[in-house]
Amino acid sequence: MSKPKALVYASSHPAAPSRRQFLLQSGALGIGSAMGLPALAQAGPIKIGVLAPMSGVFSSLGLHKTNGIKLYFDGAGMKIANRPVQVIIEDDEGKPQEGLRKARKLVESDNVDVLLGVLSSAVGYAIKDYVGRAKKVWVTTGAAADGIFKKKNRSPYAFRASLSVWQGNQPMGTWLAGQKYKRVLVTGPDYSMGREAIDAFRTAFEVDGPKIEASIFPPLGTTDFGPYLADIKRLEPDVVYASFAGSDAVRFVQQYASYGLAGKIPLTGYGYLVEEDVIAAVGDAAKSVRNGLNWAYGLDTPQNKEFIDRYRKTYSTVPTVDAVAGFVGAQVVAKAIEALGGDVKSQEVLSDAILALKLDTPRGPISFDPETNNVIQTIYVRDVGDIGGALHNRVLESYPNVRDPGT
Amino acid sequence: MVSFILIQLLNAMAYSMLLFVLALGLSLTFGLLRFVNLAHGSFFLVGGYVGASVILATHSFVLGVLTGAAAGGLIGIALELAVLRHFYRRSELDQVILSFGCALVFGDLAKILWGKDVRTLPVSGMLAESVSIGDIQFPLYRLLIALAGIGLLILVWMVVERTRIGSLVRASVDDRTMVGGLGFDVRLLYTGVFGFGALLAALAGVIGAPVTGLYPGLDLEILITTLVVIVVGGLGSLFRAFWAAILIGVCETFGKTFLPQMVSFLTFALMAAVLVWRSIGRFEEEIE
Repeated sequence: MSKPKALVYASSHPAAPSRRQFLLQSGALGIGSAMGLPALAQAGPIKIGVLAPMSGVFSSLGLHKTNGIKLYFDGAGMKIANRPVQVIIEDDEGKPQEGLRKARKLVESDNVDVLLGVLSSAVGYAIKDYVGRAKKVWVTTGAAADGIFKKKNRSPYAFRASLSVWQGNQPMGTWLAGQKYKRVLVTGPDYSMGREAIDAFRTAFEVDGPKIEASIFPPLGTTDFGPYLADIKRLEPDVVYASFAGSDAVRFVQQYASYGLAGKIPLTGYGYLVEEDVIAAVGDAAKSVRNGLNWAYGLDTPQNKEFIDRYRKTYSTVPTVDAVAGFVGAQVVAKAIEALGGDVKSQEVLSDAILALKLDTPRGPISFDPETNNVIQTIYVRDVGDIGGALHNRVLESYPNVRDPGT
Repeated sequence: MVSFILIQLLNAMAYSMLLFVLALGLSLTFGLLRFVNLAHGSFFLVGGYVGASVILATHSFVLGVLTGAAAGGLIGIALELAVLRHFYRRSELDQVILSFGCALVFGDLAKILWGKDVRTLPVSGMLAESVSIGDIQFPLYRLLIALAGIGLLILVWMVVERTRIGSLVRASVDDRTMVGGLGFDVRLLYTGVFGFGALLAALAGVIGAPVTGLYPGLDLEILITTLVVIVVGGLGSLFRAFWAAILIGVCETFGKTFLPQMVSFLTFALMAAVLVWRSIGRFEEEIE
């Protein structure tokens, strides 16, 4: 129990009360706080505004995110530092204009104390701009594009608790080079995320390894990978690294197997290629695919096991990295506010509190880089294999303290 | 290299057969009804969506194919009866504007009913198998699409050339008034043929859905490629449509490998070349 803020008030008040009044007041306050009433300094619940895609292309991911957020706060009894928490969720539909509109509503109408969420990088760019002007702290649980959190555009109000595309792919480059493959083919959807991922992989791989042999970038939204897979087969690389995600990943992995490439040319990639939801859709086609991401279902820590257990019991489905991202984002916000004793009046003080955090999460230890406000965390090299009779991602190797350079 | 060419040819065949079935429907409609139907791609898309919904609900691929095709046929008949038949004597521009408007309406209705996401229709069970041909592995499903296309070619050819209905259709193309004068209900024939064309398009939509996916905009994309096939193959011959579809399919499939940025350009360049070649041929005839 931290010191009641009223003590500070009482002594700085122009008409300072007599000692008797002072004792009575602090006594009443002490009893009031002990009864769980909010401190005089700040009345009402802590309001947390959540932006997530609840409709549109990303809705299933958005649902996992908000599930993760709710799971955290439910586990904390809907309280932070003995103040009740109110979570207000708004649908950004994965669109920048909609995200901006809802952010304005949350900040200006609902008067939230902090913003949490956002999955799409396009929305992320828009919100980052906005929170800088509105001076409201925002912790994002998605928005992985490298450009959003760089040293040169750092804002004290914006934090990324999820990961950057660079973080997700660079360690795989190092790891794959260590596997001594000679001829590597890279592939991914032809747009910013797909190419950024491959660039991060390539820069790391070519440090110790040979030059990338070939690259194939099908247009974004390609549904028929047949001609491209035939090309991969013709080039006969030793290994393929792919940066597809979402429904692209489902189709690519499925067709990779049906064209007989799965057994012959090992497939590796950015973790979203075979995340838990993709595995659910493609089944055995995802087996043995090695990939990199900042969490793994099979991560063997008590915190992760507890998280998975609670998630499966509450939502009757397997959590994905997006659920973990929501959970950790909520954890960051909660722990920072806790460190301030529940006082969220100053956004600048909250921002410093977040920077000072060193947390143990279901993904492992995290902290924030003061130069970019991007999270520093462990990246796992995973492979898809059997855990308890079903296919999941298992940990092969860990790269701790991976820091996005922000250049 | 040989196995690469083989795989790509098989890929091309599957895609070509989808185009062929669409071109077949459109060709029948234009050949007989003299009607430019730009809503043809919508039948493809709606058939696909309906079939996909049925398959997801009942887990029966066959049921999905039948319902999807039937849905397309019924919508085609309804459209013809309600709207299109009043425009047979109008100018081509009027017909184009009308049918394009219908295409836009169908497209929006599809967005409302099935959403704007890209839908995947997975195949399961036996259909998801792959076959080994020599040292390559190829998805069985695409082979089946190719076989279905060839099967439809033979089936429709037999109906048109060897049955009474077929001869009625051929006669109506030549001289509609005479056929009417002989006592046949030509208007009913037209409706039937239009419905059949729509059914073919919807059938292609369901069968093709696992390969193409289903999304807003697919209707217009596939319509454009189908129109290219018809221009290249010419109207009136089943076999010319078949070979044109194969040509375009091969062009696009190999184009994706070697010149990915130029794939659409290649298709249209091919069409332009064929048009030029044909008009040169006609020129020479005139000179003689």
